[in-house]
Amino acid sequence: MSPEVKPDFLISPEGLRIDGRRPDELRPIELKVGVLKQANGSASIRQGKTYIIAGVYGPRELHPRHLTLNDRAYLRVVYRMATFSVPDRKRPAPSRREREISMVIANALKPALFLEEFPKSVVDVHIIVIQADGGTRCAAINAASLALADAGIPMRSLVPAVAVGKADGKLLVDLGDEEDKYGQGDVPMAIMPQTDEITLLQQDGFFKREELVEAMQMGINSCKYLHELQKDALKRVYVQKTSDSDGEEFEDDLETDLGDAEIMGDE
Amino acid sequence: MADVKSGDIVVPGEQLCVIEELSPSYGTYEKDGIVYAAAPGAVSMDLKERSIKVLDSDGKMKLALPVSGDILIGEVGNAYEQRAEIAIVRRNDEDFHSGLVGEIHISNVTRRYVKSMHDVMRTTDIVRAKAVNTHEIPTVLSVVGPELGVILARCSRCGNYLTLTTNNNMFCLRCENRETREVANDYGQLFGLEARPDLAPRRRSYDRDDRYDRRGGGRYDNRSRGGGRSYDDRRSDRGRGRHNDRRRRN
Repeated sequence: MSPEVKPDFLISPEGLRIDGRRPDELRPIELKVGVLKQANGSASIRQGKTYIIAGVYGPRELHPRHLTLNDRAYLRVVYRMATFSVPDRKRPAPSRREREISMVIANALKPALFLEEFPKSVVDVHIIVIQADGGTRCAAINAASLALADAGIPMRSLVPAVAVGKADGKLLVDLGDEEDKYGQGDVPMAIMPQTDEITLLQQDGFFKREELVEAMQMGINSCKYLHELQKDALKRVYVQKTSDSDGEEFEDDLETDLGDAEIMGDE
Repeated sequence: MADVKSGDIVVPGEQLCVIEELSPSYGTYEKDGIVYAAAPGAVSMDLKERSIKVLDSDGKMKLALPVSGDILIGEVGNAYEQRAEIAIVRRNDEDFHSGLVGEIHISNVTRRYVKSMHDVMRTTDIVRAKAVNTHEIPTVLSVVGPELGVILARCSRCGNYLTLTTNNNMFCLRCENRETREVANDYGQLFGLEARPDLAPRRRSYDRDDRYDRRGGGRYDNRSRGGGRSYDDRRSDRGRGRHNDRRRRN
């Protein structure tokens, strides 16, 4: 890959970004659920050029045993970047950055999960970045929460995440790689949309108070949009499953339930 | 009535109904009097029980842990005096990969009295068992029932597969060792081993002829008397067993 050069401007005179997006526009996002066969739950996300796969294993017995928690399950998140995911080969050993992002993702997902239902066990979340193009930690949270839902781990809500940043003095949603590198900072955030609880909020660079408040509002709006995409992706799997296995039976179910509903109405 | 109806596909966080209508069950949770979905899947309401749950499209619970009543197959890892640990490899005739370890307590082996776990199962035995708890770790197993129990066992002295004679009595065709196991009714049949009722241990009987025999040497005498012939029998049988084995592999 050719050495990267700093682009002349991050915001064009027309007010568009390097890849032609408006400031509050996300990159094209493609979510898929159930991409791995052996995992209990899995999902992949393609967000612009970023491509991430997440697999969930468990709940299962935790080894080493001394890590077990007596009142809840241990959430073990492993975020890893493939050696070929970045322009320079990434050394395969887990780096400090990877360890920290693993922890950050675990902390972002934990509030949404009912881990106390599985004491002394572990839920493993493996996240592999196949291709990195900015915003991997947020994309990883999106994929991981879908994978957890796919595994049937009880959760309060899905967790959408997005990074808001600042480049050339303008607030931008869902930073790309150049905007991340040459911009003035970014705020990755994750929320639980039902309750508007924020489960992840980090900041890099400098923001004025008004800027940060506005950035968070932009982030919440984008997260809500992402949440719709996540719900769609999750429902698509079930619609597929029911339609190609027993579409007719599904219809029958609906009819009988209509009957039930009428009975209920009479009572 | 509720915001959803049975069969609807929901995702975690979706509002289902209020607590007064239906009480939350598997795959749901309640917060501030409102029932939400906790897992993705199809809604299923039980109007008799007044409960609502979210199940996978095949009507099962989605989680990767055994539920009560699942038939599990595994290998005995450690057998202690009162309990045994089973490494589970199959669940309801599907391979199971998550490395789960189940537990059998001596009280869940049979309805009769068992003095020691070593009398009913030993390490490396293959066991078919039933889960008795749901979504818990450790999984507690039971082998009470004719179709549950050891389905393949090795001789603890020489490692050869044991042949079932009768009534949980096992016999090793290679080293002539006798052992006991709590077997399933299809012991060895999945592995090409046939039961050999003719090798059953001799019953102690109290009629006159027998007593006469015992006076002339007892058990030792019995063994040496039929020794030569039965040994030949066993040799030829072993050959046959091996042949069966090979055919099964192909």
